[in-house]
Amino acid sequence: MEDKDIIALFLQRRGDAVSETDKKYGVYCRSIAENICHDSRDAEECVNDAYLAVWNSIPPQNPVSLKLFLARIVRNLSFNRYNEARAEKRGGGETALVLDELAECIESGESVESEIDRRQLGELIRSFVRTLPRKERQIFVRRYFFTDPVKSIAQRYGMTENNVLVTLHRSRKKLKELLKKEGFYNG
Amino acid sequence: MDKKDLYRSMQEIDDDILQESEKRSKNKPWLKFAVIAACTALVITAAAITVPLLTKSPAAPDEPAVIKDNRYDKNKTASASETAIGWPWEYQTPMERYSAFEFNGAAYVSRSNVISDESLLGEIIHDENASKYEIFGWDSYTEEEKQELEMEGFEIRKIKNVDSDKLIAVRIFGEYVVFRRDIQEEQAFPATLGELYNEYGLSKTLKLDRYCEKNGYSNGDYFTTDAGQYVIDALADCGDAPLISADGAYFDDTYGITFTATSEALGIYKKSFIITEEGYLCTNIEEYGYTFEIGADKANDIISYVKAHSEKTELEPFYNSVAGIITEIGDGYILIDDSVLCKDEKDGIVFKIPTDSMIVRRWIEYYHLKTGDAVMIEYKGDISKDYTVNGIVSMSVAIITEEGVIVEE
Repeated sequence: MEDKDIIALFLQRRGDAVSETDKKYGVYCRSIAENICHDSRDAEECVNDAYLAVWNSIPPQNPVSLKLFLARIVRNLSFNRYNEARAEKRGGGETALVLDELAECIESGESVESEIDRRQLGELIRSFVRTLPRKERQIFVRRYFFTDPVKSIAQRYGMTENNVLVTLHRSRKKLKELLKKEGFYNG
Repeated sequence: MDKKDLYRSMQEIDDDILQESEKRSKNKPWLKFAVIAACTALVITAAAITVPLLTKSPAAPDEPAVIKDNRYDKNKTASASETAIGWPWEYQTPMERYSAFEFNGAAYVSRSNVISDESLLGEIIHDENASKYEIFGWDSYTEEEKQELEMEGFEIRKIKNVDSDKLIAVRIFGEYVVFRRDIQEEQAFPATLGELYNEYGLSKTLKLDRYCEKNGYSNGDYFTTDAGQYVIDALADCGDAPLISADGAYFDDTYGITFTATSEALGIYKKSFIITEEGYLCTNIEEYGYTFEIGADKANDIISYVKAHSEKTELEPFYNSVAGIITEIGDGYILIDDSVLCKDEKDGIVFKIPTDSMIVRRWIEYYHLKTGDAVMIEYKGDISKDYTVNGIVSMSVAIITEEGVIVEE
């Protein structure tokens, strides 16, 4: 079924909207959730919560890409679940590695805390990824948005794992410099 | 702001960027090189190949077959079927059986190329009876397979002029296969062109005799040249040229010449050696896309010298191929008739395919191909006067179509 037809089902408040979504994007959503939660039961719950969130947001929203709309929601809910699990000393896995990598971009500096920073940070990331060369950007997004393991990124793009790691390292260095320049921390 | 804020902020990445990252590369590593490499065709990347090209190799050892040009009907296409077959152990080639191992604490991976000229081999560095190295994935072998591998033993030899820290030759079931050290650390990249030259003895192990011009990503004309040694020596003078990238950067949108680099000693077949007018040398002979900065003056000197010593030629496909219908399965050979692909059936040729290679034999013995089946063969060697195809590298079941419709035999 086409995305626009599934969205139409949501707009008409039809019960099969969720089952059609799951049929088309269930595997995709679960793979994102599992990358982040590192636990299949948690992942399953996140995906179900995501379907409910979509049900609650369409209408009024009418996303252009249902797939990416789902990806964002699943990612967000899964990361919340990951944080809860960490608080209970569970979890770990790929997300912990990804976070440690990101910590490199802000380490050794004093963070400047304020609510406005978060909005500005989003803006900065949005424009930063556009400055990266295409391949580097794709790898960056796979790792820090989709939380993909390095191995799967290497397979996706036909590279060696080492090459992926080197590329990610280079991107993080660029991001670190930008964050410092824009005053997100006092390095 | 902490790492979690940074992670959450990725949520703001725009849809088109996320969409872009959903794509998968259908290609092998360094496809970019493969595409622009001189003398390569889409044979290795496209599932369907066009009517096989038959070229008269200029370097045939004995009289090669003379094959009339333009025999084929361009509406007819032979394509390799996509059937993937997991061959059982007894039908695997030595290289398929054994592709990676550990030796002296370092990992080595097969380059899937064989050294048949034993004069290229150096001293033995590991006796075949010793067993101090570990075979990668040992647990995945069955007991019977382990026994067979242990009985075989593996003799490891140096390759002359090449640093054994980089490449070694391992005798596997009677063949010397080139293995390369699997580099995991950035520090292991050569810092200069001189280092790469020393490690691989490039002055002695490399031969450059074909190239194509490139403009950005497009290939221009193809040439043969006798200036190969000049190029190798001229680059040897740039020993201090620094490595500035290991991911194939700096040659995308520039004019340059792309040599085909083949070397039995190095276990490489049709890799790339690119010199750009902006002053870069880019090569994938060590799998990574190394770029060295040799300087624009030097690069342009080399390019103009080469251009003054070349002759225009045709594109040579990555592998040559023949396809047709099996007409006979004999003792030690099969016959393939390609008249089904010809404009005029009378121009058809019956090729003889020796079955001494496991690559061919397993299709008959295990897959039970029979007369009337269509097949496609890729080969590195020549076609001798009696139309025997030499140096077969792959075989597959073929689908023959005429304007998209399957031709029934």
